[in-house]
Amino acid sequence: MKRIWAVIKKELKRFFTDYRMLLALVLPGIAIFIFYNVLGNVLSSENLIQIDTTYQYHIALSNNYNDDKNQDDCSLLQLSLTSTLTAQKYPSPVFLEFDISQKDEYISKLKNMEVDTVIIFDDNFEKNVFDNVDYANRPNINVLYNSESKASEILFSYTKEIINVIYSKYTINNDYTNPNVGESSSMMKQIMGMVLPMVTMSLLYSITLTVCPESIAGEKERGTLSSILITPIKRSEFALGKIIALCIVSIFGGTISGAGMLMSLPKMMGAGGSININAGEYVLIFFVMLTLMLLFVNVATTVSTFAKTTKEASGYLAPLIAVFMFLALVPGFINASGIGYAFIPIVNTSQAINSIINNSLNVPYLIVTLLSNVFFSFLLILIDVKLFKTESVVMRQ
Amino acid sequence: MSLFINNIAMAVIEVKELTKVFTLNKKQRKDKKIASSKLIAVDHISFELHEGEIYGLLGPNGAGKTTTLRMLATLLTPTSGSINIYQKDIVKQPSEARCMIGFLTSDLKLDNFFTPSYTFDFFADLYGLTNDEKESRKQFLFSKFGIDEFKYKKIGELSTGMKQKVSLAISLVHDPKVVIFDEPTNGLDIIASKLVEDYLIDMKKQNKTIIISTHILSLVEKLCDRIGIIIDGKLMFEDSKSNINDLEKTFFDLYQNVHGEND
Repeated sequence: MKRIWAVIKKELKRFFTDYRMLLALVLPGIAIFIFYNVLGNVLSSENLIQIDTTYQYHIALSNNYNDDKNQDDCSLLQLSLTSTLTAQKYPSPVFLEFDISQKDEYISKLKNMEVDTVIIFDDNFEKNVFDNVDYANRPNINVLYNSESKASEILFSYTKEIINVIYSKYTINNDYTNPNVGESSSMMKQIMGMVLPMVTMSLLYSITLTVCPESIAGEKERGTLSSILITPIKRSEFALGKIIALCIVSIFGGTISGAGMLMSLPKMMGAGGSININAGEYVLIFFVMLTLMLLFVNVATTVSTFAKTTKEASGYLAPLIAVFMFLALVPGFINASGIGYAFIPIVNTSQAINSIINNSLNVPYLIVTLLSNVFFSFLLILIDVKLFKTESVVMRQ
Repeated sequence: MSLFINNIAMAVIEVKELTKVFTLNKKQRKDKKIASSKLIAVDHISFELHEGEIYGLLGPNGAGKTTTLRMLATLLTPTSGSINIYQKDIVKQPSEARCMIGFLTSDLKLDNFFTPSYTFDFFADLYGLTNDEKESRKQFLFSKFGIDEFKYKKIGELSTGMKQKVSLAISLVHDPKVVIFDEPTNGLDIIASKLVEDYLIDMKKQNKTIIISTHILSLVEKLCDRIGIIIDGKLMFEDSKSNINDLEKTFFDLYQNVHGEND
């Protein structure tokens, strides 16, 4: 353990005290921040998502909330929506109350774009609120929208946000994994769904391209690897030390990239209208990115172990970015939401980020995605340790 | 530990029928102009070293000296045969064997990014030294080799001689019983070469067991107790220095016997 720790410390010192290395780790985060901001500005200025301010929103709400307390809350919801929309220079919206038995009829109206959103309260909404049930059994409000209508998408983002902030005692869309009743996403969402995961992945991958070849193939190239291998450290200990250190360094770079994304997403959200991500979803995106980063590190580490120079390692790793980009784009072309796709690295991560952004998160899919990324990372660690024990690979100079 | 039985020194390094075969790819076969995909770099070599002895390994380029020493240093695994260092099999107990070996060659480099002080600490950790041992060894070796004045400079900023001093100190971090030198003066200037020579003399005084491969016959004649000559992977000759009248003549006669006069 002491030897593994010695290798980790050396690697961390190498990366964190070399300003060129630090810059290479920080730059992708800055690039993400700038790129997303510019993209957000361009998309907004292209008027892709603007709705004419003369447009009057039609909001349908189920009327199963009769006690005074809930009546107040609902009024507050109506009031909040009205003030939000009028603040955006839209006319006051029209509220249409319907009986819960007419639910399907109003969902059809939403599909036909006769209304912009349908808000349905829980069957036991009154009772649950009245009984003051525990946190886990909070009453639920379903907010549905139609992604084929830009107005509906925008209204959905406002509604979800208002309920989230003001009515934290309720849950939202517990009954619907996909609150979108539309057939397809708007062009904006399609662009975002494709561009965002692709750009994020390419930048994360670029971090590993900087770090891994330098750390392993670079040691062979400089002749410093043999100096270490004649000491009592086991090949597996050395490999593990390297991998752990590279993961730490890459996660640091990835976190900076994540921070860049976090800070620039509001701009993109502004452009995307209905892209509405709360703190919990940010955490989920972070974890998805984290496991993807682990996978990238282990791909790059394994390739770098095999290569004899940094140039050779980069030569193998650079074309891989095309493969990864292709896989990241797959969910943009086909429906990759089936659980089977969650086992395919990159495709699963792209789809998971996409679904988080589009408010259609499927928890089992996300769990399989995370486990799949960790599994493949672990598999690559085993291959890498094996490579380190293979004389013809380690002594390639 | 002195290994004596009835006043007869026991071998501390035992090399038996050591063989190393490399598999060559197409490009390597073309470069070496050979048809076979197998290259026998070391061919059934056997020899022994006793405690405090200096053994000189001579041979032309490509004879198998470096491969032999790399196997002794546990960097390469023998295809067949065995190496025991202080009764530790280097294949079965590589970590234990490495604890007793100091290996120095111009092919092994130290990371230019770090300082001699940090590099020493790093290698001391890899050899499992305690903090107290680390500090006292560092103080002793840095003072001995005159490294103190540049111990906080990056290795990349040091002269060749200074780097050689650091490499020597690092190879002795763990106070090894056996020191293996593979052409340690290759590429060094006259001052750095002298440093290596002085170091060898010092090691001999300390009763270290040393095996060295070099092209410099004068160095071998000056320091070695026994000499082995490798040609084409085979140990063609081995004897005590005291039994060899003219090392240069012995070497070239042997070489011509194998390769002919025109080679």
